[in-house]
Amino acid sequence: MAADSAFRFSIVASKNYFDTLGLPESVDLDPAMIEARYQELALRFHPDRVSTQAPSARRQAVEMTVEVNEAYHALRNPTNRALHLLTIHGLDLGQEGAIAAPPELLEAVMEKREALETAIGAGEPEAISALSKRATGLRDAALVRGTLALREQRWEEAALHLVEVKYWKRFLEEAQRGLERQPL
Amino acid sequence: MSGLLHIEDPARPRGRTVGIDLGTTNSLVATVDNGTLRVLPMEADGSPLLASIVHYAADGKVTVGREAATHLADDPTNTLRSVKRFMGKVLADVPDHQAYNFAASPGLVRFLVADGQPVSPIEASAEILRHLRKRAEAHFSEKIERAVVTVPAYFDESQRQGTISAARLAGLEVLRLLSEPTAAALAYGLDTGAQGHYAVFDLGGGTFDVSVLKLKDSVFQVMAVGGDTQLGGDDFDRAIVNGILGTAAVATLAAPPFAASMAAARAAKEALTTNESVTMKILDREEAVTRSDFERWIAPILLRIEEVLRNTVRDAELEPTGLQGVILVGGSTRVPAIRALAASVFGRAPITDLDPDQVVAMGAARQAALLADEDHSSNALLLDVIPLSLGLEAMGGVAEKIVERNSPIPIRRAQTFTTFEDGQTGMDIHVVQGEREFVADCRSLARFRLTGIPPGPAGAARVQVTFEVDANGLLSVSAHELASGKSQRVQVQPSAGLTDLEVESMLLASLDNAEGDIQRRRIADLQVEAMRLASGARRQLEIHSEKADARELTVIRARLDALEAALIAPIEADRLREALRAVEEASAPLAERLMNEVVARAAVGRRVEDF
Repeated sequence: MAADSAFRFSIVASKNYFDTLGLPESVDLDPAMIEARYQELALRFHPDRVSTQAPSARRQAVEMTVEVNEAYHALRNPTNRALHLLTIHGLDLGQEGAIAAPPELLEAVMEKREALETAIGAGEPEAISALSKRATGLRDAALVRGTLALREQRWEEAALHLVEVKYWKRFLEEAQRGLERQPL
Repeated sequence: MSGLLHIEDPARPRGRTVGIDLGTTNSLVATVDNGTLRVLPMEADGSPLLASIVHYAADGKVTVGREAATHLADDPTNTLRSVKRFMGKVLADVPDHQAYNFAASPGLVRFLVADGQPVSPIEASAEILRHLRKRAEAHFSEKIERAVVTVPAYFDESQRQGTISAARLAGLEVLRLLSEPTAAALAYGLDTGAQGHYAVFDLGGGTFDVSVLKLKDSVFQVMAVGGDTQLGGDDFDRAIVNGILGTAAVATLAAPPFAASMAAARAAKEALTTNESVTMKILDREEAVTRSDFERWIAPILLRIEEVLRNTVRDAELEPTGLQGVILVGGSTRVPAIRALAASVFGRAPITDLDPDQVVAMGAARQAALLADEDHSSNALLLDVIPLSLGLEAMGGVAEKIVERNSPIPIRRAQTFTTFEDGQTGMDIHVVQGEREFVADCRSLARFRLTGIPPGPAGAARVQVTFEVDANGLLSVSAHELASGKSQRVQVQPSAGLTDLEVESMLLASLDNAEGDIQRRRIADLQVEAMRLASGARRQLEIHSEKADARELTVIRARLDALEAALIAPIEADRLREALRAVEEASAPLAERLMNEVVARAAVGRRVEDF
């Protein structure tokens, strides 16, 4: 049975990372504000700032920095930020079966995946790039729709759009790997 | 090992701290001395570059640097160069099979030198580090115990662990493993006060890294890293040899003509930096090589480099032309085609006014000074990221990413799993590193098994797996069954590395054959190390004496006395070994109690089965 006997259940009880960074709980955060806040907190808490102090102070600094880093990672990227906002409102898309992807979406993804596999198999970087470009457009459009829904607190609808974002994101990662595997 | 000897003693006075660039081709030491940055002389003529070459003579004599290089021609298989390319590798990963003799053993690759003596890349690197330390100590007439050591940004877990093991063998505590491009950015940024987004393009003898950093005020934030730990100037040399002789003919060359051809190619490559054409001698014939021949031969390598440069900038969510500058580091960036490539990708002339050989060591020295500064008088701070994703094997052999690459460190991520079958009481945890979708294509770091899950229906148990990555980019994994509170903690120890126990026993084993320079050097090192441990343990014992019972105290004190007696010359290996062991044994329960107090998590010991 080995490792197959473990399957993912869910992300551990989520913290509110907006609180951690002292930022408003919103999908529309100014990137410059996130960066500035992160830098300020890193300067205050980073273990390297207390590297010569007692172990207890260093451990505390690590704890604080770990928290700040997690929050920064969760909020700096618009997709992660949208997903985190959704999690706070009880819809954790990291959880298996949290929300069912619409069949039309699955069909569209499947179709593009087949095309991608063909392009990778045939060693056609131009075809892979073209598919990537289209998937990027679809991902961005879904993110815009998801962001709008989050703004209006329509959580279920936002979840559907964000599921789509996740599908295209994974597709894009595969396309990227396909490109990297192309012969030089 | 778990006794008092292994508890860090903060009160212990420390020597000078240095920054070390442990390079594929050359290694350097720099330090901040009374506020002035200095790169230390390593060779007799005052050159700061120590060639990263180790020669093992048949009589057991080990030489490093220029002296070792004199044996490249007459004794190539016992003269190890570019050992960094072998760090953390197993035999199957090894490039240049014909250059050396290898032991046919599983796990960590081992060279066979000086009549079949197996030497790992970790031990060979330790020889270089020891030499660097001794030179620096001689320069200052001062003990050096702690260093910031640089590694390629793209080094994986086993390569990082290997570097730390090498430092330990060389008597150095690693204050921080620092990424080479980050070190370069630190040196450049602190000197010039540069602000904005910069790319550091670092091409050394055997590794290629690119980092994108944001410099704001005095904070150096790494946004993304990329690279290839198996691509560097050595590949240019090989491309020249292949270009002239043909790949098929090169594959059949014996070690000496191969080494000679590579050396000739290296000289030709360097000459082509300033000349349009050169004549080189290869296999007893003269060949004319033009710069355009060379550029044609390395074209595939240039394409690969360009791809990594573009991907890394994209990962940082920037455009190549949107950067404020591109810093070139590493000797191989002297190649004109590389400079042209950087200019074309980034749309601006690269910054080349730094000494590409020295800037990494200088940055390491800066970071060492920052970390050792008691008052933290500088506001400078480095915020680094993890270069490769870390994950777990999930159903169907898929790698489930837990910590994504380019996440800021230190970081912790947890994921909860559940049981798949009724009555299931154990769960295999397989930790992998890499970006590929399937576990089989990623690097396997560790496997362990969480046992003792209370039996119940499928899906009832909750097992939380936590990944923690420290500031050195090193991973530890713990698993925790939430209902029973059962937990296991694992320090990942990669298969292509040395366990702590192996490092300890290597240090001790050197006592057994107390002949030759190396062994005598090692004994002296071990003696110092044991004295340091003994006095540290004694201090810990006095601080925490109220936590030990009277009998325990008496026994530990007596054994420490015996250890100190064993340290007075003449040293007898067995006696010292036994004394160390006795202290460890007597102090283990107390040490464990102390550790449990400080580490919130209880450690239920089960060793990782090294994969």
